[in-house]
Amino acid sequence: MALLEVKALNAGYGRFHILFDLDFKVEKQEILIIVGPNGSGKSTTLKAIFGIAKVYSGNIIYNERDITRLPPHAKARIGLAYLPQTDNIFAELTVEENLRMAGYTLPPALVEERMENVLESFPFLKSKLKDKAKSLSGGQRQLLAMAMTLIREPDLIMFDEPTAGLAPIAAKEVVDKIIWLREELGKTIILVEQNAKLGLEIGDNALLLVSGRIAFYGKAQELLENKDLGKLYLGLAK
Amino acid sequence: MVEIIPSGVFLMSAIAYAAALGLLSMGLSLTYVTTRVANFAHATIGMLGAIVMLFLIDRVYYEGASYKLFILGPLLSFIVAGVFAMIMYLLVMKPLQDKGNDVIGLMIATFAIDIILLNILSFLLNAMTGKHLPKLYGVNIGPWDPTIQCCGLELKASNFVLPIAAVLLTFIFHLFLTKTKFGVAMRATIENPNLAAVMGVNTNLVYTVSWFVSGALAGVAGSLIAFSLKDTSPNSSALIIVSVFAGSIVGGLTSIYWGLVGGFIVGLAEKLLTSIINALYNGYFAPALGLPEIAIINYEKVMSLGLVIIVLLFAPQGLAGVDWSKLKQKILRR
Repeated sequence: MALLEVKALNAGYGRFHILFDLDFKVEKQEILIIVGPNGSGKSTTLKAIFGIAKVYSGNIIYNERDITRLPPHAKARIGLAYLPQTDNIFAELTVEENLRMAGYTLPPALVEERMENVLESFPFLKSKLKDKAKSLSGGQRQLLAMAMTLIREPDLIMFDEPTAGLAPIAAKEVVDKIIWLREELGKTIILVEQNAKLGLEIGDNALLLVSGRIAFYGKAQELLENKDLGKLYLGLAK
Repeated sequence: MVEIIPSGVFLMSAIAYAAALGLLSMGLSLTYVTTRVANFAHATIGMLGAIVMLFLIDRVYYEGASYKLFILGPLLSFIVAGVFAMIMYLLVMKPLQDKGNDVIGLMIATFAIDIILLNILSFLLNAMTGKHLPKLYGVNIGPWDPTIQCCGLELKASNFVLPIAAVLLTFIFHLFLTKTKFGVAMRATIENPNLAAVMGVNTNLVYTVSWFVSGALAGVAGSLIAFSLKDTSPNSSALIIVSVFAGSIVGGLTSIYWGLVGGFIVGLAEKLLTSIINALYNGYFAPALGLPEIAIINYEKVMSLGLVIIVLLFAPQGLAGVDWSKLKQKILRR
């Protein structure tokens, strides 16, 4: 049984219909990569799943439960996490306050315990606990956002272009951490990635969106090797 | 010789006035950063504090004020004005926001509430009779402000208590914002309400509490500044609100602490600068140049509003928007 199943999803913002009849599944501990040209609806797909964009029709099934109409904070409580591309941390709060905010609804003892675990996994944060989050670099901010997500111990984590605007070394660090999330912690991941090659290399399955419709859905490796689609939509010239 | 440097007593009264404006501007900035409402009823809410003082004097302390008045008065005003502001948010501002009204619509609504509150208060004060006071409308409660000896000066008690109250309240509020879970959630909500909601913060509760705190701070300021007003009629708020907005705008409107600083600067400018310019003009320039004497002291608001324009010309985002470390480097390099 798939962890997440999206059936005939139509979604958008107000009257702006952006996604048309999307059908896909995400198995437990899978990494699904969503790629596509600008404005193809990649981010909207994540937002529709999380309940931020408007779902017109179709169903979102999570753990055999229909969660299509559940509000975002309720989805957060049953194990979904969504990391927006920007504004995913509180820049004016300290790193420690950010981590504590992430555990806002959890009992204090549990927050302490999980903070310790998270700091073991993200050791660079230890020396920056008292610093304001705005003092972190772009890559560090994405890692802090990831650490905050882990405090709530979600099962499915959705990333929206976590490497956008990062230097190659910082981008690699973020991608390595995403692989680690799956390998070590057994998380299921949906990753929207603007760097198609980078994403497809680490993904199990891939979804190529073009103008809000599925142009390819299958093994990530297959899409990587598909010269026509790669050249046409992903800038993967070979 | 004309005295240009103000006397210690005058200086203290200016600091007290500035502290009151600081508290008021901080509260005004608070509801603006949380709910995007520029509250024109803010000073009238503060006048609720003045009216609490008036009633305490009439009912309890008519024979002579004790130090208890200066504890009980601000405390009661804190609660009365805080609760009023909270109710105003829940009954009027929030429903209007939920219906999709924008910043302008909400601002006009606060104007309406201001006028309604002013009229209700004036009506009630005119209609009621005092226990000791012959009338309750337009009473000058200055005589109930005892004089205390301090540092060789004869100071009014309210002038002494106001700066202390301002420092104490700011300190407590700062601790609340940085050391409590709810306070941190409030700062998080101010910065990014959507992200805070995703983390499970009840942002509506945050907004409601911010209105209570804003009103409560105004109430304390109003209760203590009441002794320096010509009278405690609610209409006094009309002049104060101009300075409160000036303070918040000088601070930048987007920061609570800079709101406090802005209010304090505007308050000092109104009292001290006008007094100094008044002494300079009437003491030196007017006699030397054969110009007529002008009571510049009556043009306080020109100072505060002039200051707003000057600050906005050099720092469009107010003091909060100034990059102070960059400015420091620039000055040091010279």
